[in-house]
Amino acid sequence: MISINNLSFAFKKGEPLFSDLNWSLEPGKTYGLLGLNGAGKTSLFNIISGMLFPKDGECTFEGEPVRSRSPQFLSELFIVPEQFELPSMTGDKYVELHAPFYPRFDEELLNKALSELEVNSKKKISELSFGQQKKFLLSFALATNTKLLLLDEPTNGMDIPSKSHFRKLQASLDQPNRCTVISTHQVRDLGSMLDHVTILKDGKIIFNRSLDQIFEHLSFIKTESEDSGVYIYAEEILGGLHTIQSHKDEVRNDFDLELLFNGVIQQPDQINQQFNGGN
Amino acid sequence: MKTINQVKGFSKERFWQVVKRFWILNQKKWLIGFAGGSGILLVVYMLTSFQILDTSTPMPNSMAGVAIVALGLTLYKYGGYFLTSGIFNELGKKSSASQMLTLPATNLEKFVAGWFLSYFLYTIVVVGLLYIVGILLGINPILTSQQLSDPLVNMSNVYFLDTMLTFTALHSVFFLGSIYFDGNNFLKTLLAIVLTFAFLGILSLILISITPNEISFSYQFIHSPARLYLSAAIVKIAVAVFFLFLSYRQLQNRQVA
Repeated sequence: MISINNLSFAFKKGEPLFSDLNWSLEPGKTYGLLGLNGAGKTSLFNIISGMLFPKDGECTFEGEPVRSRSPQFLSELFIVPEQFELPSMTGDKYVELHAPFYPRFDEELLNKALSELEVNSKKKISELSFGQQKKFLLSFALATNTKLLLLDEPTNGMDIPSKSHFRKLQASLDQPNRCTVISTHQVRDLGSMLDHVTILKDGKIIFNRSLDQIFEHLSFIKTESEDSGVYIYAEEILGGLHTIQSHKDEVRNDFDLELLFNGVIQQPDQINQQFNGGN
Repeated sequence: MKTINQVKGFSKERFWQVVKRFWILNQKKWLIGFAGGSGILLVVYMLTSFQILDTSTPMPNSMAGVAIVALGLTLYKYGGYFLTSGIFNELGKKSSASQMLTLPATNLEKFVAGWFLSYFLYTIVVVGLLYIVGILLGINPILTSQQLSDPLVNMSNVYFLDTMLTFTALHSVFFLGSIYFDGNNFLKTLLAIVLTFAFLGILSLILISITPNEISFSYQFIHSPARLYLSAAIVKIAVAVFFLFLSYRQLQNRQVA
C-alpha cells in the first residue's frame, strides 16, 4: 500500500533527518511508530501524507507518488496531527463540508464514535477544549473509512475514560483494507492496539517486526532475582527484573511494549539478531 | 450523505465543494468587510447629500454619485487585496496546513476555487453593487472618467477599466502572497510590492542617468494616451498571468509550514 524507497530528507543542508529509509505498510495492519523525541516520526507522517517532499527517494501509495497529492490518494488518507487547529464552525458543518470528499464515509460510525466519546457536534469545534477537539477529529477520522489512517499521538490530551473508549472503538472496527499507523510515546495507552512495531532512531528504522514475529523470537520474562540467566535487556522492577530473552516456549510471556522499546533503543543489534537466528 | 465521485482531472463537484468550504471559512471576515465598506459609502453619501442641501456651496447630484462610486472602487481594490491575502491562510500555520494540504481535491481545483471566490465572485458582487448604486445616484459608473485632452480617443471608460486591470494585476500578487507567506500575508505582500517598486524606481533612475541624451523615446508613443493605456493594460494583464502561474506553482510545491 505505502512504499518508501531509499528516502532521504533534511530540514537543513548537511543535517539529514532520514537517509536511505525504506519501509512498507500493508493493509489490514495497525503499525506503532515509536521513537525518541526528534526521531522524525511527525516528519515521516508528513512525508507519507504528501505534505513534505523528500530530497531523494520516493514514497508511493499504491504505486503513485504521494507528493502529487492527487484527490484519489488524498481521499484514501486521513491524518490526525498531534497539533491541529480546527476551523471555526460547528461539528455538523465540518462534516457537511468535508465528508463528501471521502467515498466510503460512514455517518453511522461517526455518530456512534461521537456519542461514545461524548462530543457534541452541534457546538463550534474551535471553541471546544483540545481533548474534545481531538475526540471529534478522531471520530471523523475513523468514519472516513480511508485505506490509510495516520494518527500522531492520538490519545494526547484525552481523559482516561476517553482513551479506553477510543481503544474499544478502534478494536471493534472490522477494517481489513485499512492500514493504521499510530505514532506515540504513550505505549501503555495504545500498545494493545498494535500488531506491528516500528522503531525509529537517528533517521533510520532500527526495528520493524510484527507482534507475531516478536512473540516467536522473544520472551518477556519477569524474574525475582538478579540471577535470571542470559538476557538481552533488563529493567529493574519491584522485587526483581523484567527481561527480554530469546524465545522460550515453556515460560509465561509478560510482553511489555515499553520494555521492548527501551531494549531496542539500548541494544538494537542484539535484539535484531534474535530474528536472524542468533542467540 | 452525498459523496463526491473521485474522478481524475478537474472535477466540478470537488471544485464547488472547495468553493463552499472557502466561503464558509472566510464568510465572517468577508461579511464584516462588506458591511464596513457599505457603512463608509453611506457616511460619505450622507455627507455629500448634506453638502448638496447647503445652498451656499452647491454641488451637482452626479458629483456625489461620482464620489461614491470612485470611493467604492478604491474600497473594492484595497478590500479585495486584504481579503485575497487571507484566502489560503490555513497554509501559513503548521497546525492548520494539513487541513488544506490533505483536502482531497487537486491543486488546480483549490487554486481556481480561491481565485474564483476572491476575484471573480468578489468582483461580480462588489462592482455589480457599485453599478446599481451608481445608477440609483444617477450616474453610469463606467463613465466616471477624467476627460482627456485628446479628442480623437474615446476614453470614457478608461478609469473604470484601469481600476479593474490594476486590481486584476495586484490581486494576482496578493493571491501569490496568500499562498507564499506564513502569516501576516497582507502586510508582507504589501511590503514586497513597495520594495519591488522602490527597486525598480532606483533602477530606472540609474538607467536614465547613464542613457545618452540623444536616445529618447518616441514623442508619439509618450503622448498618445491610447497607446499608453493599451501598453499599461497589456503589462497589467501580463503581470496577472505571470503571478497567477507562480501562485499555482507555489500551491503545487507548498509543504507543511
